[in-house]
Amino acid sequence: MDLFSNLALGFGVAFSWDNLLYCFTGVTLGTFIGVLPGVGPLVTIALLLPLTFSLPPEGAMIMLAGIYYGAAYGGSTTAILVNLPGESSAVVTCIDGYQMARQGRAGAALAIAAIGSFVAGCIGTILIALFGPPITKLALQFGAPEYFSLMLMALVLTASLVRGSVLQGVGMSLLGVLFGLIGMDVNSGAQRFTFNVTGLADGIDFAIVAMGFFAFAEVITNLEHDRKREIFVNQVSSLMPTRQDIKQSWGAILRGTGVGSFFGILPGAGQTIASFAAYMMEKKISRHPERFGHGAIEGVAAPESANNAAAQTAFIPTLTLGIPGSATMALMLGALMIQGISPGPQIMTERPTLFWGLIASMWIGNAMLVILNLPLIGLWTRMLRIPYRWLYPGILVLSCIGVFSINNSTTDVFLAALFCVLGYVFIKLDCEPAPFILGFILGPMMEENFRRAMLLSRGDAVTFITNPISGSFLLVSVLVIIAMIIPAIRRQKDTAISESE
Amino acid sequence: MQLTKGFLAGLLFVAIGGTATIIAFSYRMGTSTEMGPGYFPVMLGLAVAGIGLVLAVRSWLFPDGSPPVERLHMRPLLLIFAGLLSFGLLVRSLGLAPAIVALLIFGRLAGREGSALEFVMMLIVLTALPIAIFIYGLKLPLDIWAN
Repeated sequence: MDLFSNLALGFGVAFSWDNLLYCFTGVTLGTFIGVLPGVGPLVTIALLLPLTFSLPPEGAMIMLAGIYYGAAYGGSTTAILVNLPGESSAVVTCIDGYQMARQGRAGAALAIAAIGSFVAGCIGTILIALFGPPITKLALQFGAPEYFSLMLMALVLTASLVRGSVLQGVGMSLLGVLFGLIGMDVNSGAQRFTFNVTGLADGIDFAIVAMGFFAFAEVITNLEHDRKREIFVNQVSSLMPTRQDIKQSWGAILRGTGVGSFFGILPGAGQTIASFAAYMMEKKISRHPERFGHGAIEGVAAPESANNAAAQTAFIPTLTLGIPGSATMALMLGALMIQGISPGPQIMTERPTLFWGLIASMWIGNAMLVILNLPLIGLWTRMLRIPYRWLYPGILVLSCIGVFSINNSTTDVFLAALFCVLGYVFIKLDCEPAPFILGFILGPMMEENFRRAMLLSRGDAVTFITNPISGSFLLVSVLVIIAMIIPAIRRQKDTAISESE
Repeated sequence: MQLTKGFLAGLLFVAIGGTATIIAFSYRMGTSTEMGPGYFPVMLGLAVAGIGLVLAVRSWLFPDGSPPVERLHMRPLLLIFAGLLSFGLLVRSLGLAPAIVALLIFGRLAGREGSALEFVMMLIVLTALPIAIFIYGLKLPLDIWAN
């Protein structure tokens, strides 16, 4: 049976002492940094990225996967304890998680989040093992038009999920694509938008933009508000969920996992959609929907499981198509490329130890999270009380070293400073950075596939519609935009997003 | 007239999209079959500028739909920016330790909180720790003090 031999291969790689150690280090550091207020998963991964540079590819990816899960879990912890979502997929967790914490049930909420994530992770691992190979076969048949339309759909999905106007979201994603074009044009070798700066010839590294937007610009906005903002950290008393908690949440965990696994495969805002959809579904089918928003444990269990299942299955498009679904996935992909591995359908056949080792170590990382976090929650809550004035200098120093060490280039530090200013302006104008970031990542690939598709069709743009797979991706994009313009749905989306604030 | 966020965001899009279009026109355009380096950026720049125009006009006609612009806090913005620039300028020429110290001084000026003793402690810890981790631990090619 292929499934078992593949998984066995993966676990063989992941269970070596070295790799277990990398995984453990990753999970610990990821949670440690991710739990700090004002440091989201993306910045956590970016900060810890230099640590993996000197490792072998398998070790580096395994450590990064550990960091990824640790950071995501750290984000849920801040969402539940202090109502600060680290990234958009944790927004829903805030709604009921924070309420539970205020009722003195933070321990149960955190435990259910960890257990739910673990269950989702287990099922997700099996799903990847089952569906990874057939999807890779499908991906091998994708041509330029399919790739282009798929990426366009990813952008539309992300853009439509931002608060407020869809048009502004689309504008931000296109702006991101535009910035992504900076550097040498691969087809003609022409320099574009480089202004004769040598450091720009190879384009701008994605991590630099992410640092500018999410680390530096965030520090500035936090410094403005810090004196006003009082972080209220809830007490964590009993950790163990009661029997009733478990009875109430196991269904939600399984349903959340199902919803999450489905949406995770979608490139674009898969994780965010997954956690929202899982929450809405629980509220719909619950016999007591009025409990939601007032500390219903299903309201924590479902989105957390969905989020984690989606995070797991999101590795399918990331690794097989080379299309990252979110900014965090893009960082993982960037790390892979630093290791000299180009993602794509061939990765599963050419580097089976890497692919399956990574999948297996995700499961191990999840298990370590549960073991590590349940006893350490007391420590994490104490870390949440660290005042911001002690944190931000550390964020500044680590981010600067991180940016510099990507290419050992001072130009990169100056670029990060510029993106910091741009990011601050975006924040002030309510322009959300997520679509920009995704556009920036997908930009060069979109242009390349667009040009190739047009070349193959002899300049006829109708090819994107007549090609059945490409056409259906475009149809979905159009339907999403129409749906978001309909006032009723738009209002519902805005309430859902603002409910948590 | 009250300046709204939507209006300014629209103007920003028009400015960046417009500039990009003008610059991209100087690149070879090519045909729709065989696109030159200019084709895609021109399309994109026009699309960004177009969206910006719609956003700006919409917020101008219906100013209630978009919140007014808040006060900008120039102090943290400029000081953090200066801190990043000085890190970039110093890390090669003088070395990692002076670059970190300069960054932290600007960072401290941006925040203006905590006692002087606390700041000195922070300087020591945040200079020593990265040096231990990145230079001695991970052997990144950085100098503590450049010659």
